[in-house]
Amino acid sequence: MTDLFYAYHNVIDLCLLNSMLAFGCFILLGVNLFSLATGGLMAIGAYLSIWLTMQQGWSFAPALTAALVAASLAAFGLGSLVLRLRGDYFTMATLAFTEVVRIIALNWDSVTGGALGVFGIPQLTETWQLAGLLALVIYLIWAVRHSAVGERMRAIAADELAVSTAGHDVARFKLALFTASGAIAGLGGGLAAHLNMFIAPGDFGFLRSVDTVIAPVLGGVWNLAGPVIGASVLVVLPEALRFSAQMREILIGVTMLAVVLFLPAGLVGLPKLSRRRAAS
Amino acid sequence: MTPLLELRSVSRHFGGVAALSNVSFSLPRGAVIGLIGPNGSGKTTLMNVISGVDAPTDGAILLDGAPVQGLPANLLARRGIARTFQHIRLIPDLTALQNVTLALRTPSAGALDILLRLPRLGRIERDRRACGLKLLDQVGAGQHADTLAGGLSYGDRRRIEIARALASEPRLLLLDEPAAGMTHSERTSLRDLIAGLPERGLTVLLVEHDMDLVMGVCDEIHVLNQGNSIASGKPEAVRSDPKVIEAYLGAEDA
Repeated sequence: MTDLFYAYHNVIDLCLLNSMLAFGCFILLGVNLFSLATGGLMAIGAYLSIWLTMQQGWSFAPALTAALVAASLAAFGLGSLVLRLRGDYFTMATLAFTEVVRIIALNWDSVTGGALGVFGIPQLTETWQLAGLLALVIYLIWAVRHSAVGERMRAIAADELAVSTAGHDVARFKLALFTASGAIAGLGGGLAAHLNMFIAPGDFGFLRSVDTVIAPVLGGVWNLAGPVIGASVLVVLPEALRFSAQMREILIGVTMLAVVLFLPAGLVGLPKLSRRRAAS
Repeated sequence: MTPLLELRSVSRHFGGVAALSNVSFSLPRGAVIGLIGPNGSGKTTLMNVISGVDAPTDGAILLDGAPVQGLPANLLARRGIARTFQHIRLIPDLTALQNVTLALRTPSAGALDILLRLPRLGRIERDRRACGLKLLDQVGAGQHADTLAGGLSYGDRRRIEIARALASEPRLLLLDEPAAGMTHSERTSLRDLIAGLPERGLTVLLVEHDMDLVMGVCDEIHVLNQGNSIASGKPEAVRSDPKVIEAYLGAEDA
């Protein structure tokens, strides 16, 4: 068992980290917000935290806290501006944000190392920290979902107008969720930066944002297991398909397509489906 | 005494089309006021403008004498205007009770209560549940409390929507065709429910096609036709007004 852990601990770390990040998108998908801001918000958390640990001599926990706070504030500011946009326009605006952050990171050499990236980052992120923080995120989301606030979330997903005529400020509610998702992305960014010894602006771009939002869609948007399953599949699948670089992308794409077409509830819907098959 | 709500020359244009033009009337406190008119006469547009779902192009809406036109729906709800919809807008995947508690004014749990699951949380949720059940009983839908709203009959959903509107403790209740799709006996109990609302301090604006209900329950009726106010007064007077008959039946040629 310990051998297995050492052989695969990179994969396990990535599963845990990406699951946590996926929850940031999961809470937004719950109110029909499809955000691609994750990459940009992660970058803010990542660069701030390594600057604090490497150049300011901060220890890990306060640096992570700072990353979380900074990304929350950034999400609050971004959300105030772009949450009024509808559907596709909101998604495009969040993508633009991620691109702007990436381009700033490319050019701000003194902090980000420019296109070459930052080397020699201390590896402070431990598997138990990732597991503990993921558990905390899951618990918090579970507690909110099983409360009147969770009911309001489901109501907003179904009919915003009905919720606002019931006396609730839907815009403020979405801004709070967006800020919370920023907190998760910032924390995840700080953890990701201290997981490997190297980061570069490309690590936090469009693809990172897309991967993070795809994970809950793949796993299931309505079930707390969804983001964990989706993110883990997205980590493990490319490893399993390592034999061919081209086939890899294609097979991942095909898997996504199949899930969207045949499992609208995501992979968490799979057992129910096979049970129904067995019964009939 | 200032009326609860006063409309002053309220207009709503959609491009070149005038859905409402210069509509003025007021709702005295504790009255049940009917709003009738043929299809497309602007009744729902007026409801939308009063409840903040839509904003008037021109004119003023005064609540307790203070202008409220153009305020968002959630603020107007907080200030005491609640409504139901012609096309029912319950949340199908919440239970009847959850739909009602969504609009309750009683304090909901705070962030710490929820995140730490403090004992207070259970007490608050129980109180809210009790409030919601009481409202569901009042509209006669108590037995459906824990059924998903999407699976209920039309008449039940209409009543649950009224319970949700009442949950926000409104002073003004806008009912948009509450009797549509209801059976005869359901209409009778709806009529009793509406007639009892003024005693609870509510003022009601009722849009309805069921003339028996409107004539039976309203203190005063306003008639809209093509966005214009064409008549208003006591039910008997409105019923025999030639302009109203013409609007409904079309002009007689012979």
